[in-house]
Amino acid sequence: MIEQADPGGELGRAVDKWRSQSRKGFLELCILACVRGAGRSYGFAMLERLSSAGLEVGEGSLYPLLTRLVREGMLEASWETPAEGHPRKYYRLSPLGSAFLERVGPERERDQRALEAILSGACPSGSEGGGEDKVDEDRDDSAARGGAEPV
Amino acid sequence: MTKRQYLDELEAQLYFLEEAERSDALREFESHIDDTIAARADLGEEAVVDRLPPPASVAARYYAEAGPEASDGERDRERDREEGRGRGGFSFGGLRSMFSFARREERELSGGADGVDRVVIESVACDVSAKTGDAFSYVVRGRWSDETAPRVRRDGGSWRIDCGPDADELELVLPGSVVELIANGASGDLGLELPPAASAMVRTASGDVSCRASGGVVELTSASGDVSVSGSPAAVRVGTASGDVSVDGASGEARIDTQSGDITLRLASGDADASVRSASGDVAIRLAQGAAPELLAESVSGDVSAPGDRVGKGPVGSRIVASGGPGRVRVKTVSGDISVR
Repeated sequence: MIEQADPGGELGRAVDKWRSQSRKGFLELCILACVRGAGRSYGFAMLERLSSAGLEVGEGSLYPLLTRLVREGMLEASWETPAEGHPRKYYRLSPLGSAFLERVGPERERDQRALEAILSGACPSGSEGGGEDKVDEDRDDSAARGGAEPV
Repeated sequence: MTKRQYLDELEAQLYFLEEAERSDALREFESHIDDTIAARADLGEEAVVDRLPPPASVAARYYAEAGPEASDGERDRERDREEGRGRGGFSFGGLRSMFSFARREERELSGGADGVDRVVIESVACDVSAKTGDAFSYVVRGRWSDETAPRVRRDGGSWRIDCGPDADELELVLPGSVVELIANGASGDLGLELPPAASAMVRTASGDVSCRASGGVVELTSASGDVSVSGSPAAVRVGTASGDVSVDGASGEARIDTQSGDITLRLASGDADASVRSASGDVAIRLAQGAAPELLAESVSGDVSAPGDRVGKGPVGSRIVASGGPGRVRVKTVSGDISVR
């Protein structure tokens, strides 16, 4: 499919590369936020919740990532067996995970708003011609931050 | 695939995790499957399992997320203490993982040494080939990231090569100093030629194994991979579920067990002591020239043909016995046919 529109595969590789860079930290954040929102949660419920929010995550990505987040001390996990049904591994946010989310969550929101502003063309310097590329980039960047910071 | 089969395969693929983490991961996947079955009443167990990612790709994710820490955890924690906070903080790990690029070049890792007596190989999808030669060397090739790179460790004369999930092939040269080769694989095929008197212990999930040995003990286990042994090992012990087994030239002890895999065994000596069992696999045994071992061949519902006296035939099964020696051959199946010639 990519090959048809992208004979050299450059676009496909660029997209893959970007996704792998961008998605990993993003997914961590979503999972931590998901656990915080629920108070405590288990894998299947997280997948449902993420899916209903429009984020499709596979089991093969979620569980290994949860394992790492526990190892890194962001999440705490414990097995619980209900009176009826099978055992489930529940996750809670640790103090570290909570502090991490409080720090990184707003940063991510700010970046997101900046990106939206730039993509929508609302960025003031976007209409300026002239100048060299480097200068334009710098200006775009500072303008985006400037626009986002007051929020 | 049933839930049990999926979890068994996943367990084999998660060899690199420590026991506690591995059983925790399996328990969690089991819990996930149970939740999915409960939520999707329209699907049966097998349909739910079929929608899961293949165990190998799940294992590769665990490896990327947790593998290096799992095996090097203590050493890393040690280093973190030495470096103050080092890479122990979450931010560095997060950054590191963000910069693992999807596009990868073909890579190669190689080395060698003298005085090697024991080699341990851990592989996932990597094919392994071992030849005999004058000096120990290894070459691993594949497209791996820093996180999934192969790891090679040496402890005296013992070498351990962990190919990681992204290696495609491992080539080994084994000198006469090597007395033991241990290999754990998942889906990669293994072709092994052992130095004289060296022993091998090999376990795979779906990978095929072929092993040529002389004098040592060969123990091979596979779930669905085919297994073949040749040469003149002192003892052969093979177990598979559905993989076919071929042993050519057993002269000492031969123990072969399969569930549905067919078994072909050629005995090279009249002294050989063979014990062969299968549930539904067919068994064909070729005795050594002129040999007349003590024989017992019996099957519940399969056909039995062997030199000796037929004891029973019908619903209770067929049994053929013969007295002889010095060798001994015992074959039992449930529904598999037996032929001894």
